[in-house]
Amino acid sequence: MTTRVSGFILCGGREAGIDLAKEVRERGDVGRAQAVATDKACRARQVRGSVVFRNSVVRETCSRHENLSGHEGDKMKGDGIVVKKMTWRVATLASLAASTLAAGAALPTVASAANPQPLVVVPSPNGNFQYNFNPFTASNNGGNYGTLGLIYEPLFYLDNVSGKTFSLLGTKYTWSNGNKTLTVQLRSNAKWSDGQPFTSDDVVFTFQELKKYPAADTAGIWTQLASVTAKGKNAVVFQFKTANVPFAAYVLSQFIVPKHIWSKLGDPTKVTVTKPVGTGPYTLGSFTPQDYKYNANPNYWGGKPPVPVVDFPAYSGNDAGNMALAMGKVDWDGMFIPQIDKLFVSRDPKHNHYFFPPGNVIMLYTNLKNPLLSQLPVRQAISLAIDRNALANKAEYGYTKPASLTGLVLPNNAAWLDPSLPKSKTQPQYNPQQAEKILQQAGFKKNAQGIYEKNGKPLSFTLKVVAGWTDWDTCAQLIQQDLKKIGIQVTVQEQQLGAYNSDLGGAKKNYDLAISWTNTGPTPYFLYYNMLDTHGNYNVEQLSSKEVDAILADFSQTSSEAQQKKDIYKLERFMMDNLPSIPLFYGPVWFEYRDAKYTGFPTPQNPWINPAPWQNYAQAIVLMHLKPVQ
Amino acid sequence: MSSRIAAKVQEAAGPLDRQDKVRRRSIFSAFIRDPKALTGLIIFSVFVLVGIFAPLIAPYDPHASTFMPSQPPSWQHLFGTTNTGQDIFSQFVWGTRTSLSVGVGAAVVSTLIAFLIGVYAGLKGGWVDAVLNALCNIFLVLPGLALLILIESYLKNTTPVLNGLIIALTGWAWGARVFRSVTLSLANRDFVLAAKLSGAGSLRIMFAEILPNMVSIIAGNLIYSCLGAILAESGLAYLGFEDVASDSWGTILMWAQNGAALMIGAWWWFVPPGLAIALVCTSLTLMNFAVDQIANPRLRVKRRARKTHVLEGGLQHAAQS
Amino acid sequence: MRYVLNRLLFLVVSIWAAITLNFILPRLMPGNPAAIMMAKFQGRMPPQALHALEIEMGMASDKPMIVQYFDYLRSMVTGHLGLSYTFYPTPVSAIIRQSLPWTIGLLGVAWLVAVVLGTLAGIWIAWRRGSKADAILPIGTMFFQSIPGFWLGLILLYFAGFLHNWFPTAHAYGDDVTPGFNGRFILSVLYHGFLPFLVVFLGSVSGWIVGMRNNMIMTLGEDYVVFAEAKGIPTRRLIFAYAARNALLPQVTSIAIALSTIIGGQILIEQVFSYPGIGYQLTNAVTSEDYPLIQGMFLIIAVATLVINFIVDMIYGRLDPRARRRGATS
Repeated sequence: MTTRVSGFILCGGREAGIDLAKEVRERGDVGRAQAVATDKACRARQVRGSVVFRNSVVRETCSRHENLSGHEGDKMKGDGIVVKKMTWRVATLASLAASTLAAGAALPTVASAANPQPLVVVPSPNGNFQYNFNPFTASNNGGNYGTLGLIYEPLFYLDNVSGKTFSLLGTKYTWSNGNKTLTVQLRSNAKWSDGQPFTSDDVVFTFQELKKYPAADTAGIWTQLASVTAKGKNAVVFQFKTANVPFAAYVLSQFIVPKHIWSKLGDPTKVTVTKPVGTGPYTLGSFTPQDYKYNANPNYWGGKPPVPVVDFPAYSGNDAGNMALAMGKVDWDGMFIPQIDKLFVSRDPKHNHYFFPPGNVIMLYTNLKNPLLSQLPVRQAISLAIDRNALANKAEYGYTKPASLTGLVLPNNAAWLDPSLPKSKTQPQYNPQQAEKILQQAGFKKNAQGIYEKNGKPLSFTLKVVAGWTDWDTCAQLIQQDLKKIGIQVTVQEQQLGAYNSDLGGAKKNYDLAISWTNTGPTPYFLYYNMLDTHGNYNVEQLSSKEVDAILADFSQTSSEAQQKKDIYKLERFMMDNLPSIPLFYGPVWFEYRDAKYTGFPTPQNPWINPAPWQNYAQAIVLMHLKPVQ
Repeated sequence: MSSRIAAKVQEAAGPLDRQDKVRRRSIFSAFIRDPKALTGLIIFSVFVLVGIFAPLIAPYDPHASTFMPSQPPSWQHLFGTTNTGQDIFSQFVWGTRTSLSVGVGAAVVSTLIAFLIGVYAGLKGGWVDAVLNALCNIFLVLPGLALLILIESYLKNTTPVLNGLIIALTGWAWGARVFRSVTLSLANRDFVLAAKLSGAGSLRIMFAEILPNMVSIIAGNLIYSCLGAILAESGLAYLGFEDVASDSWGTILMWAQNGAALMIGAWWWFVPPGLAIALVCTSLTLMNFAVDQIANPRLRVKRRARKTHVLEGGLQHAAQS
Repeated sequence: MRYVLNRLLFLVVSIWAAITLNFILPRLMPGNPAAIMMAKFQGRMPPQALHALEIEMGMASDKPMIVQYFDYLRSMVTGHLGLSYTFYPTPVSAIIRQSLPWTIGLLGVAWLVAVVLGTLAGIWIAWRRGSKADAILPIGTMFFQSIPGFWLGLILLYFAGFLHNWFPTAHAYGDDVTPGFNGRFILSVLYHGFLPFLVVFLGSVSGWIVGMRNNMIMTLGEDYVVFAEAKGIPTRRLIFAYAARNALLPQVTSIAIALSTIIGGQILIEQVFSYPGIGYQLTNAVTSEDYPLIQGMFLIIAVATLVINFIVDMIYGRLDPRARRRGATS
């Protein structure tokens, strides 16, 4: 039965890549809409120094797609490999799809009396909490952390870091009818926290709610789904309008609510939930606007959670949160911290740890509609003049590395890197002399102010960044200084997020240079598609290239991995040769933890799941794998 | 604070009625002779000089991040360096210029507005006075920083100059109220009436007749507004509502806080700008204190009282009983 | 009665002004907040959502401005402050209800202590004019008033909280107590509130000391005091019954005006101490561009200030019969 899961990964590898690609193109912005959904939630919480949010964009897009990754799938053909690659604890959960584990007997359990210490979690800065644990709100906006995962569970959780599929309320699923019918077997021993049994009725009801109240259907599930029906008490059948294998990711990761409660509540997006009833490992313990706690659900289908109490305090900003973390008051944290070794690790090197896996590529977008920036030599000169190591070390405190010029997120996408490309070419160079030479060769001459110009047009640009995202603000200032050295004048404009979004993301782009993120996915295809395709969702630089569009279309239509790789290789070369925009560095995912009370967090050596405490569902799975320190 | 109005009204209405030009000239010397005022003046002047000669004093470009990051103070970097390798002393020197300009500029603008509105209302009387006075009272009770934050939430990352302007536009009410009260008491004095009868326009009366008679009050208001503006601007910048690339003390504090300066022990990044704000504001307060005493002779009686004032008797009485 | 009506009229007019300001400001500023909100949703919201947002923010563009304005006035008066974007669908009023008690509590206590201690100190140093205390106290406290509150707060937070762990570094009460009327909770609130209280207190006490000192000196010079003194009235009685009583009057009017300044300073202090009051919510709302919440917070701060101002006016009217007669001219 595990093969089913792996099977999914396989499909999700090849076909999914294609279908999802098509899907994204056809439907435009599902992925992005998803990203935005979370992004808003995060932004809402995010105060100064907020690298947090940008990663949330990444994390969301990743979580939606990466698990469908082709190469990840191939690596994991067959459950045997999966298990071998994981620690025993991971294995217990990752192979939950196996019905033998459905009873949950193998999950680690510890009597809470032995170690009653609560685990303190601070996913991101937060103002006062609002007393609302409505999962429909949580998916839209800034609902309280843990609502999704600790209380409400989906059928499956598809992880973006490991590419694995974790079985939650579903135990297995099968495709039939030409990949138009999806049958999901449900866990028979799951119970709602009020004691009622969890059945297929609840699943059908949840999906019907989404249909009835489109505001709740943030993933646009009913754009693809034709019907949802129960097949007995422990199975549900999803009928798709057209075959769309990758879209199953959205369906499978939809959280489920109890029918016996929500059927009386009306529009689910307008409800205030103070006594949430879910199937998850925790129930809501206490709530105050500055702190809420979850208590372990002793009747959890997966066994009694090893952490008896999970505590979420509110910290207004990175400052207050960092202070608490440095003082050892926080066990699991997802915030940006300056000088982490000095501020956090050195205060208790034995227990204080961090791990910042790369999330996406941060770009310096160049508006190709600008007559100067549309000239390749100008972009090349800019790229050569930027000291990316300084950006990474000064603005980002050395938490990240300069990004590959290919546009790939490395090492995540290492399997997709064209082996024939020499490393010296893919790695960005810092060479201001060469930059000036390129400008001079292109016919630019220094004017009286020391700025290069051609035909009376000086190389003078604005650079837009979001006000308050201080690491990017610092980057912008560093770039300004770097470019000044080679005779390019840059005026930094810090904008509020709304204005920045409409200038960069709107139909009418209004900028010269801008620092912004990329929308990544399970394969490099997603980053390339979003950024480079004429109809891409985040085609900020406004590239419109028939050549690129054709390569992307070819990728989406082929199931041959060899062919896909060839296409990606072409795109890598296109990126390097044409530099449609300028990769700067990788955007890190923040994750800090203290293992004084509990051990078992993901580590760089064993990144078995997305380690960020803000990652819905993953956080609950991590919690179930922690072990109290005796 | 109202006592100050009362005091000022009395002062303006009282001695100046005698058109005592000599006394007016003596205001400055009285100011200089007051040790508090002198201390304040010296501190303030030092900062003003630093601001004026910022380009000469600052050893480096305040934005150049070309140095070793996170360095403690040394001879090369008196206040150390930031996490991006900027020289904090240079930032501080340039920040002096920005913060003082904002403070003084906002003070001048708001005092001018206050003067125009307050004096005009006082002179005109009637419904003009009623409307202006109501407006003034509303601005007086609306919470200033909250209003500023409300405005900033729409403007965001404004330049220090714009911030100063907003502060001035929202902070004139107190002065206007004082000026109005004083004008009311001056409006029926002979010299004002004479000017009116001779056909002088409102503006002429305001600037030629009224203004010279409230110099100390205007000075007090300038000082007070400057203090408020410097504090308000630093608060806004600290909250990150000012252009983070600007050089003001508040912006340095914002970056210091952002870089967790205190927590990593980099006090040299966090302490100087805050201390500078405190020193400048204290110097302003000291001067204001002295202006108050000059404006209100009774507050000045400290030394004379020892000999003649009834209070001395009171003290003796208290000592005996 | 006329006096009361007069002040009431002023209260209504100023609240109206605050609401109008709230209405005008978003329309004066570049960019339409509703459109900015839409941009944040990036296509996730259907186009009709823009309209809903505009109505919610009181700026439905199909209606003439004046109609929008009266719609807005009506919803404000009936307490419909809209729904927070950050905590959608929580009404702004609910968030205000949650945070207002903390602000009023902290502010009220710090303010009261500052007024009482400051006034007493002012009386004392006015009486002991020329003494060391008279030389040190006004200048010393003025130094604290000159320090930016947030800066002092951060230094205290770092020193007494982070470095020495004497006081908590965030929140209004411990995470281990149950809010309610119980001893542990009250102790926890006092413990958590001490540092923010200290900063607010230090930042505002100087005004009361200096103000009262100056008022006292003025009053002590009045003929009736001199006369009473000559008559041999006991010192204590002279100070409190004769001089201080009248010197207090101007202090009362200062109370309301000072309040708006203190509230402003407290916004920053709540932010520094993560104290869950209105100021903390306001700054968070600004960073997350939650416009309904920003407007609601501003409105509640303004209304609170105005109402307290009104109450003070009433008290003043009772204390000083002249004020009642003078009516609304001051």
